[in-house]
Amino acid sequence: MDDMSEYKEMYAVEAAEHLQSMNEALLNLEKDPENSETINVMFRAAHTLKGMSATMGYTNIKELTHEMENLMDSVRKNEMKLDSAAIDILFEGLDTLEKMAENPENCSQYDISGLIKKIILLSKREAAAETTGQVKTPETTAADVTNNSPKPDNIGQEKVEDGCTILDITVTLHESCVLKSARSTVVMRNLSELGEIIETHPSIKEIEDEKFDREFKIVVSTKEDVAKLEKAIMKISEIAKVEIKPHEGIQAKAKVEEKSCAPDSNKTAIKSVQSVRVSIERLDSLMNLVGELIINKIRLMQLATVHKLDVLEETLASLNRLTNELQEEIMASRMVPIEQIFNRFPRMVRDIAKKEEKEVELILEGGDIELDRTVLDEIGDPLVHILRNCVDHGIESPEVRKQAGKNPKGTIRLIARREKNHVVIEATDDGKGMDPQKFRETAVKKGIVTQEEAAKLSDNEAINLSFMPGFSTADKVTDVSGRGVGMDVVRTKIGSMGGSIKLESTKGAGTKIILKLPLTVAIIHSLMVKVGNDVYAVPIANVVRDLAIKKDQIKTIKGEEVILIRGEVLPIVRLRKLFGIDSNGSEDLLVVVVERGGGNIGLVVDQVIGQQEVILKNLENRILKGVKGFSGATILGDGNVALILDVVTLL
Amino acid sequence: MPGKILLVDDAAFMRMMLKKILAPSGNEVLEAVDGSDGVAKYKEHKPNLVFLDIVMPNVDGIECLKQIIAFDSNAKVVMCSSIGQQTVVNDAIKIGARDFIIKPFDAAKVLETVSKNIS
Repeated sequence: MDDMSEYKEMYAVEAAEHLQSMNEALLNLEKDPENSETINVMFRAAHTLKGMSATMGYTNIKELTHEMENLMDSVRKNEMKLDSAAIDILFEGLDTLEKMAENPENCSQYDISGLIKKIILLSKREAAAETTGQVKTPETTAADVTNNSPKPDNIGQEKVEDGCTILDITVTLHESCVLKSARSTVVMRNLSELGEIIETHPSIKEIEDEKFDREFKIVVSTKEDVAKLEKAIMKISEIAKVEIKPHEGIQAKAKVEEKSCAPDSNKTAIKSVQSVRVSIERLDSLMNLVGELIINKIRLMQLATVHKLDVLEETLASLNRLTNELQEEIMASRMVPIEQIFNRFPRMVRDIAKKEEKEVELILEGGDIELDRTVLDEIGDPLVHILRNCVDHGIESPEVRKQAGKNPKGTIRLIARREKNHVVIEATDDGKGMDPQKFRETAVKKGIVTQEEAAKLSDNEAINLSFMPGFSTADKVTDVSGRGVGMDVVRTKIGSMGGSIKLESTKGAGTKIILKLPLTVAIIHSLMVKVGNDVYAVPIANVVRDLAIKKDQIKTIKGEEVILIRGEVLPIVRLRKLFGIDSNGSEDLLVVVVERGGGNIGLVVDQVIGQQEVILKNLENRILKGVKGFSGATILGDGNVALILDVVTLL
Repeated sequence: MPGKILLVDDAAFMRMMLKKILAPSGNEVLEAVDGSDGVAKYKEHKPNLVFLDIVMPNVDGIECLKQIIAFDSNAKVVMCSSIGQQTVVNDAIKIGARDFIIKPFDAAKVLETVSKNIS
């Protein structure tokens, strides 16, 4: 066979799929160990992976999958039951397979002998780990004997004719033949088309059980000549030698059936490939180019308006439509279903729960929701963190839950859904929830807020303190349960993508974490505002609403400016002041209300320009990197640069 | 002599391996992704030869074979087997499969199987 390298990528993709379906099957089997469909899924995945690995010469993967397949085969034949020990070993096998599949060429570095022994011990097979071992069940063999008359069903219905010769045919199989019994069956079937098999040595049953070396004898009654029989047998693969001699005396009855198989000669062109793989870098670069194109388009449109060039405007309208379509197409090609990262969570949750001796059920919904590849890559870690916290600190031990009158088994729901231009991911647990009072105390202790500030905070604001940097250093084993560990990192990450995060919790009843994510990070749907002479972009994901107020509506509570809307106290921040621009002294103020970590805040701006999609240019410049409050910049149609506000780090 | 060959296997990898072996000698190679697709493609294209995987989701190789044979008793079906599937292969041959090959596929053997079965 020619160079295998071109198959490697395909192998990797399909192997990953099979490993994933094995993972899902095992998790389901843990709950429902006798589900025959799931058992079959597991069996098939192991089997297919074995075949692929054998083809690629990945011996260790082949051998391990082979043993796992045998085990599953015993299970599906009801020869053994899957208990939790068996599931654990299968999981161990799966883990090893995953490790080996990462770099399959080096899979021989892994010592799998111990694991294989464990699996074999499980399936109670005496035979040592030999790859040619065949699993044969008494039932199938018995069934074979009964329906195994030497005369196949498809002949013998017609009247037979006299005048046949009886021949002894001795067939020797090629030494490379692996399935000797199956090969013999082919021989006998082909012979039965030319005559009638009278008897065989050894018996048919023994041949089926492979109780012969390489040679077997068939006595056949036929009216065909020797040469034709010989040719017919030699046409079969893996036949080393055929000897045909006349049998003693007797005449027998036989029937001949010739089958004509004229090959179909009509040919059509071989179909071309339906899809191609493109690296994400290439898509990034395409996206970037489209971004530049859009900026230029906007610039042109502004020029056309300024110079009142009607003819140009018509052309630009169609250019506008085309660039929008182009942008949508590229964005669509970057979309991948969120289940790609959801898939690994059931296993992770199971493992953590098992380690902590908790019972947890993870329910996933909305796996088919699509997200930009880059966003997906970014939210993997934060979600891992959030789920780990749910199991670690949210869900109580079964005993505690029972005492609290809850189901001993905790439930975590991870739900993704689409909301306009965003994807919302909610992680809800029915654990012990958070105690806002403890959060206030810890925050004061950590010096994040003062005693007075803490008292001012609503319960919801208090638990959202866990997103504050510094809170995360809280001792993991305090009563606050370490919820804060790393949550500020999570918030920063989500914020930097133009998303938002908030916490809701009821003490004793559970916690809900809500992530709101943009569909893509490359293009940010923004509300454009003006402060002083500059334009800024506020990601729409953060914007709750905008409102116009009079200057005298502003009250001061403990030195901070707030306004009252619908009975709610809304702190406000004058961006002019924040950016060091002199106040314009206007009586009428425009406030953009943004959401940030559970609480809302009002940003006072000079002018709201409108909504626009802006192309994100990262602030990777050394001077600007690390500047808080801005997640990036964009180039406006007039060529000016607008900074994109990062509401989370702004204050 | 080249012919029209249908590959029925749920693993695209396996189909590609076989295709790479079969296509260069001028065979027209068709693909089906599972048993039910296999039956449908057989009925539609009436290939000269079928390479049929045994373990597949939905309709497995044996059921697919039965349906193909029921449709065309002259169908030439080669089972793609792994070591350890002897009884299933035996059953398949009794149902009407012409031949079988063992994974991992050996290019020479695959081509030999084709030339022996397409005549």
